[in-house]
Amino acid sequence: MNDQPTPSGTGAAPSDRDQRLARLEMVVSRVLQVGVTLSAAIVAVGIVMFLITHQGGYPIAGFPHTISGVLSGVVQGKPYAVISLGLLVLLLTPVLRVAVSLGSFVVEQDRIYVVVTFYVLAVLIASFFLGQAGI
Amino acid sequence: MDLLLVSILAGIFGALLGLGGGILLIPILQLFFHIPLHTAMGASLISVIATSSGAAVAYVRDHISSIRVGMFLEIATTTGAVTGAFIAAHVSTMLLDIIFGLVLLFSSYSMLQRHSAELPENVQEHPWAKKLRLNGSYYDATLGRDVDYTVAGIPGGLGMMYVAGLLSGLLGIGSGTFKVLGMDIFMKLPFKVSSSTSNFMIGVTAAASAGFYFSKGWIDPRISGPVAIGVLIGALLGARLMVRLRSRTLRMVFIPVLVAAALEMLLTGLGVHGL
Repeated sequence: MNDQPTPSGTGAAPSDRDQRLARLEMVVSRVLQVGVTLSAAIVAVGIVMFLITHQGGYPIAGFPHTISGVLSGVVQGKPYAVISLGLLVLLLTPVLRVAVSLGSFVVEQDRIYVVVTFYVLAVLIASFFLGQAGI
Repeated sequence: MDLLLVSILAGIFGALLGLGGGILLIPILQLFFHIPLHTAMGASLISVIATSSGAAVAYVRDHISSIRVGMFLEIATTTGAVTGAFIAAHVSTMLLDIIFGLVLLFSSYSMLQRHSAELPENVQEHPWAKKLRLNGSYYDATLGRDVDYTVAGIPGGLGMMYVAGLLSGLLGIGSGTFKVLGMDIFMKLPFKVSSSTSNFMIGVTAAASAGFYFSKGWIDPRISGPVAIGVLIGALLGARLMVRLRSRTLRMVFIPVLVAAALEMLLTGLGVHGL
């Protein structure tokens, strides 16, 4: 116990800080729910496009697996790319939650948790690129 | 179309049994739809994230889950998830089938055990707990009072979370069972806090696995798309049904099915066919 941040912040009772954190989490969770609905809607559009055209927009067994590949496929109106975009939105909802938590820890100047949250966010973002690196 | 129906059913049962859809979906996709294992695992992760992000409001609103405990432990689960996904890319699917079968057996076994509502006693607070402000309190509706808790065994908890993350990445599941175990056994958290915080963490862990899966091309829009929609519809229906059905009775009916699926996966992994 050599570097307690502030004497007032060491009590066991929930501090104002923690209450603000909880309120923020509530807002984030609502946003997540909207994100999930949005992603389901995009996926549904992609499936309908596929059912109408009977074409995925890619050669046999092909579909995009990079973020840029998905985006350019969407621009070209390829059904599989639209479905993948919806799935990507879904994958990003937890990433968004962590990003917002990071912001709130920064505002609260909660140094340990800034580091903790930053690490988690970095792993999440890196995971989207690690597979491509041929690892 | 079949895929959509099966996913709806998986979503309903997942919600009723308190499992992520993953552990149910993977055997179904592999054994009945003959979908390659990695693609089935990718679709399963999608279903895990869909149900967990969709239900996040409920977990946060109950004020039982601990945001700090969750975030702190996610260091270990996300690292484990990426490691597991990496391993999944390099070992044979037969080995993965065998591990999945064993994990499924273990999950069925842990469903059998009834959790007492009693709170942990004589918790030896770990020196880091205060510094990391992990100790907390929640209002327990059954006991009708506020419960303060302290956190023990942080290194052991972190280790167990790494394993939970590893299994998530390796098998494409949410691995909630193992998260709850870690918080229960090592950190001595009250059961309600463990299970609620675990639900809160599942989405982030699964996203770390899913990011890797996506970039590997294991998240196939033709499979994962219908599964995402189906599981979401199923989870909504399941939450409605939950009020009317006794989940304990349901579990007893369902455990033999899980055990059968586990054995089938084990046999597939061992190269025995024709059952």
